[in-house]
Amino acid sequence: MSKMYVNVIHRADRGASMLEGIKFQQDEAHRAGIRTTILLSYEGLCDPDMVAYVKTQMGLGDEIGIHFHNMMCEEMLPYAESDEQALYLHSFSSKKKIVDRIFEVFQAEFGFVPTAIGGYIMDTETTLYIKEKYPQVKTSITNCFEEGVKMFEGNNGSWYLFSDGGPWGAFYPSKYHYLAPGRDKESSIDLVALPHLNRDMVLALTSRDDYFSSHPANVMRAKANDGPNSPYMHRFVDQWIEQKNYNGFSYYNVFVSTPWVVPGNIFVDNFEHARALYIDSLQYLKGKAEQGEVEFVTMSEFADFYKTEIGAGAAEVNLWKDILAGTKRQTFWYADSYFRAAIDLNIGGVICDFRPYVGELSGDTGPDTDILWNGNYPYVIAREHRGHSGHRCVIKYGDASASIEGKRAKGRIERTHDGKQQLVVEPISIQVGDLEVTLESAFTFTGDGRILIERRVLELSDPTAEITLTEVLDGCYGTTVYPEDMRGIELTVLSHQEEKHTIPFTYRSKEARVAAPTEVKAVIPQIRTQLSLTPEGEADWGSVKEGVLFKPYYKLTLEKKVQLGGVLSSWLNVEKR
Amino acid sequence: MAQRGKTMKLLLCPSCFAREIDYLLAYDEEEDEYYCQRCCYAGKEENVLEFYKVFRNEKYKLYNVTY
Repeated sequence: MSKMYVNVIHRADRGASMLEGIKFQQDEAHRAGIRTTILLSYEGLCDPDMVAYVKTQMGLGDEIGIHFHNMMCEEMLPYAESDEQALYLHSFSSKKKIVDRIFEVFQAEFGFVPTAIGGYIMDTETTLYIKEKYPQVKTSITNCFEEGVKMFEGNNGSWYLFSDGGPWGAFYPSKYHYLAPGRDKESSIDLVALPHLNRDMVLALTSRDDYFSSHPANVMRAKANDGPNSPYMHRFVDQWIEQKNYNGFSYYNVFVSTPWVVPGNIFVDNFEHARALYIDSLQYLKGKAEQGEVEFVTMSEFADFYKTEIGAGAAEVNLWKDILAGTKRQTFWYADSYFRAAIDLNIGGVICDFRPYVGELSGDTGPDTDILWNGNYPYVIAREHRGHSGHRCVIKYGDASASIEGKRAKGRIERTHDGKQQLVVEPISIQVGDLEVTLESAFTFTGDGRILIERRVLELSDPTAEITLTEVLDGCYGTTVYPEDMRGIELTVLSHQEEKHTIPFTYRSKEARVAAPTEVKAVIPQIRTQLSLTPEGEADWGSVKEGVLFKPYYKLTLEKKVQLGGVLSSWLNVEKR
Repeated sequence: MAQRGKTMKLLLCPSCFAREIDYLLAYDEEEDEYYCQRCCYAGKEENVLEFYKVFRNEKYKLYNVTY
């Protein structure tokens, strides 16, 4: 029976209040039969009372490691190059000194090198350095899924953490970007990357996902609780358990740092309610463990499982429904080492977010890097940031046309006969002029940088009608809500007759169109990526079009005339350029 | 920008509007329900109008006060 593996993680910080808080958390975890992973911050390591307490917990079988938050304090200033509070925003030389100092103090106190570590962001150069110097490390919390622009705006520009565009679960990180999975053992860092919390996979795109995570006090911050009760939190756990049916396992972590369960947190209107919600979360998970659906493990134990059973380069999917507002909304996610894709079923099955990892960009941050603070992985589609972007299907009949976006759809995950992950969008009926069209869509993820997209016409209100199906990709690139410079992008369309047109992007709304296309593509040198659509079999027309400054997108299309029972099959491909 | 032509009535999403974002609600004929394609709001016409009213009364306290 597949399981959801659960880590309960506590951070040990400095001070009497933090000590009282972690004692509460540890006692409650033990009461639920859970062995925890305690990650000590540098401040915690500098507190003799905290270190003494953590040693008692180690004696009870809990795992002890390092967390790189709360490291900037008086005792660190002699080692760091600035008083920057975030490790990932230091220069590489400063990162190394900070890391070494913390490992040194940890080893002096505990007598060993920890195998579990974590931070809010652990960029590639830092992780590579740690693995080289401390090869015993097996696992690290490396990223905060989809925390980026919206979170920054929501917290009044006070929290410089941009970690948007990576996987949501466990993965082996590549050697180039901390958010991009490695393709195989050779191209990966030998360490299992874990997310800082699980997130609500619908609200991750439509809302601030730090509000809606596996952190009951964050849910309280969102006011999605009623005093000490939050049925939403139970549904949240259930949704994550369901993911094991699609992937063979599921990973979940509860990581509430102590400031959330002691008095004085400005986001917690009643700390006793925060404690009650914390207890309730652990007890609910305990109940699921008793039913055999959940297994509690330490971070390093999970890393051992992942290394043995899953390995580098594995694909993961997620199908999530709206469990807060209760609407029909569903979002599907897919991630592997080539790309991450999200499909919004609330708009008929539009690809609403797409991050091509093939460009092998660097994600290292700090004052000595080009990207400074911006650890987001670039998108080519991100509807939440750039509303016009997306990949959709448009149906034309005579002079009328309609997009799948106008219909709410429902999806299900299947496996092809050769084991590939597939999202089937259940049939939707779309009115196109006076014709009603029933269309089924399927997305097959072949694990090699391609998605096979099939549109099947199941019904027509006039069975003799002929319609045109068009795949439309409106793309761009960027990491925030603002457009980037599109000059340098080249759009090309190729035909079976070897007709070829290339349009350099100059914001002049130029377009090229050919019959019997073999490929329509955009080469985006800024992210070393080529994005293309290619027909599987035949298509009638293909086109590329550049946008203008008021609408700075490129458009790729493939179209085909079909009748009842007809199919348009095409590939969405990403390649390194 | 608001998205044109999706709805039976032109109703802005009240939840997005509360964040000062203009987004027209789409209409689900089968459910006789308006829903937002941007956020997770869904409701009947009367729910939408009531949301506007609460928002206006709580935020624009002087909007209907004459001096």
